[in-house]
Amino acid sequence: MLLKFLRQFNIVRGCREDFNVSVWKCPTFLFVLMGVAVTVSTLTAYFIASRFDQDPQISALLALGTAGIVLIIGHIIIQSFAKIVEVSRLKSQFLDIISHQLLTPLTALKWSASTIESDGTSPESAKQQEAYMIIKESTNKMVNIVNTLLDIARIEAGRVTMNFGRFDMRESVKKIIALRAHDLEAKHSTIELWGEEVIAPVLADPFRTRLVIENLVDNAIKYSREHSSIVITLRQENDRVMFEIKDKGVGIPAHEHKNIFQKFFRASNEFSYQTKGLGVGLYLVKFIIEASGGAIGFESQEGVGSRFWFSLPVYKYKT
Amino acid sequence: MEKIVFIEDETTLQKMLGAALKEAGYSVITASDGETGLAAVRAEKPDLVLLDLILPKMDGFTVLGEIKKDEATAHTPVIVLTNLESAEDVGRVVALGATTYLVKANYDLPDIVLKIKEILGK
Repeated sequence: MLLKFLRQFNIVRGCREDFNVSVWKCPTFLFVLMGVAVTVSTLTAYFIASRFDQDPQISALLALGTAGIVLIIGHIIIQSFAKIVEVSRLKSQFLDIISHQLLTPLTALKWSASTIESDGTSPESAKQQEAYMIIKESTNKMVNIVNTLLDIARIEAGRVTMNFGRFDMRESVKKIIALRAHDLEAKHSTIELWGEEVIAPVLADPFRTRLVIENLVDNAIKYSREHSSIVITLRQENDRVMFEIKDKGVGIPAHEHKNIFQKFFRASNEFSYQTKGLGVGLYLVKFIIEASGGAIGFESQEGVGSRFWFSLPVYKYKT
Repeated sequence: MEKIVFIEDETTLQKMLGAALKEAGYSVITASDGETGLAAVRAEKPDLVLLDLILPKMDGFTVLGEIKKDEATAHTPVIVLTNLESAEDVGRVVALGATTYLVKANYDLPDIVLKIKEILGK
């Protein structure tokens, strides 16, 4: 515990792990160095000035020297920050280009799958039907991954546009459950949809809200134990629609609850359950719900399971 | 028969949506770059334009601007069909006068045809 507390003051380690640069390019180290330089120079100036109080030129020279040192270190700090900002900008730009390039072939795949379906010429044999379903599910998953990466880059650059409209939550949840048939079958698990059969539509960004539901459903499946049942409940509370998903999974350790919505968060116990993921899902989920004027929360107990919920405002018809 | 000019440089997507629109009863003229697309809009006076944004020779923003600048084509509804979705892009397209903005990867093919039908009031 004490070691952990003291570790946070290890600047050299912090520079290596957080910024991945040498100490001479690390803002934290340079900031501390500047503080030390200012303190030492001020004390030296005081002692020298008190000893040679007859000669004000020496004091003035020392003050000038201190200002010079502070300016040089300040300049190096600003340069380090500028470099970090530039690298971050290039990274976001690169992610943007790569994601866009990936979306074109994915669009072709998605359109092809929907053409087969709408054409009424669905594959005949069971084997073909299963292969077709896998193509459809995998394409949707890939589109979601790329959209998630794109949205993360946009959040970092502060340029997310929410496209609000009418969104039917129940219809969407049903479609998402149907698309998870293979994942559920592999775990011998089920998802039950409870709550009111007819529920008011919500005002939200349809694609991003679908992404939110997909993220929560995928997490519930991933972290569930085999042969378990996941329950989704939809209900209206005044002018809000409430979505809730409960699993009997591995749960999240209590000391990690505060980090759950942080970017790249992965619960420490999840590796025991051999799961894969970007670690950005819940970060994005929280951003989308809050940007839609909604609220989000969770309860979780390690070894028992988790309950995630969010609420969104009801869509008001134009009169 | 209502006429649609479809400007898209990705041949696979052009072929797929083109076929779906023909099947839905529209006459479709396709173009693979901005310049050819703009020329087709001016010559054909279509009922609707489907426009990608990243295009060779002339980008979609310029094509849209030119369509809306010309009195003969300014009234033509333009659906921007792209995979770009940043706030700047959407804002620019809306300011230039596009009827709607659809992100290709977010829609299944029949949904796009449905949107087109809605806009053309069919």
